[in-house]
Amino acid sequence: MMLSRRDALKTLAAGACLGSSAPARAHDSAGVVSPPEAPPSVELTMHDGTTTTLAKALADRVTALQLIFTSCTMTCPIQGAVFAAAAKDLGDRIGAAQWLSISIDPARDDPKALTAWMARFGPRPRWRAARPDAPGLDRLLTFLRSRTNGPDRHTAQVYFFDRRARLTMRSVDFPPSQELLRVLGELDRRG
Amino acid sequence: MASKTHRARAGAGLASVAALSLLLLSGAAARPGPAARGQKLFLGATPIEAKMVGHAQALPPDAVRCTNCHQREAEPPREGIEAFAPKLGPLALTRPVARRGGPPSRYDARSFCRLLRDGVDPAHVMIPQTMPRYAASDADCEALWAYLVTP
Repeated sequence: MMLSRRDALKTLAAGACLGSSAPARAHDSAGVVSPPEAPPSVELTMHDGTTTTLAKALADRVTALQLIFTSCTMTCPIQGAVFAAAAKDLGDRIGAAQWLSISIDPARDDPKALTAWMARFGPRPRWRAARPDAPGLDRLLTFLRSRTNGPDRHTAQVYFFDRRARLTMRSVDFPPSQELLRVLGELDRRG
Repeated sequence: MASKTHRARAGAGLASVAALSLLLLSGAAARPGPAARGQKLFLGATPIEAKMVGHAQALPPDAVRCTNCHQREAEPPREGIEAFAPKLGPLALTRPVARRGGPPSRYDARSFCRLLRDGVDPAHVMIPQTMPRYAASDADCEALWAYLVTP
């Protein structure tokens, strides 16, 4: 189920070889997660108003997950645009694939706000958004290693989960959509 | 499908209205020539195509507005913005400043344009990949430069 080191390096190289001399914030945590890790207990309210847990939302699918908040003007509009474009490119080619945007501002980001945020980029059938419960968010940020001190308070990484709802990889910041599709495809092939 | 299209258009429309509101509030009409055009570019009322480094697809205009992350030196602080990306204006751009560990350097119109397009600063240091790279025309560069260095 794990992605190989070569796969990880290809993904990392997509972000790292292009010449930035300033270290991306995600570099300390990007890479394959070995062995894959089960997520913490997190209650989710989905953008359609239904409730579930993170483990249930991830189960039986291969998932690309990102952290956002709807009032963010800096990195989040780019993150949303990349997910929307990648989801459009993927279409139905991987039946079990999904895109999941989780808010780090659960007090403000209710289902209506999350739905409106996705609508800015064009909603896609396999793209969902959710807000976690506050204690669950704290556990999730620790689990993903995604805390930052900047005003946007989260990295622009994408976190990949396998069909058993296990975290298998953390990307660099702003991975290109072709890399998202490649990693999801690899996870899907591995069952 | 029609409903989704409608929602997407409504979102784009709201973004345009927001950009125009910013424009009106900041008095664009009073600025002459290139600076007025530069203000529209800065606020997103006039879009510039941009991509993230390594990405094949251009991003939507409202995701890459300069004002999403930057503000001009003359403007009152906006929450969070200053800590994320530098304020821009005559002080930051035209005085010798050591940036990103490089030697002191200052921008001119040409090096500013290089930064927008290629992400390389006047000391030949690459800026973070967090900033999109813009397909700015010579006229776009000139207009933005005029807007930003005009006190």
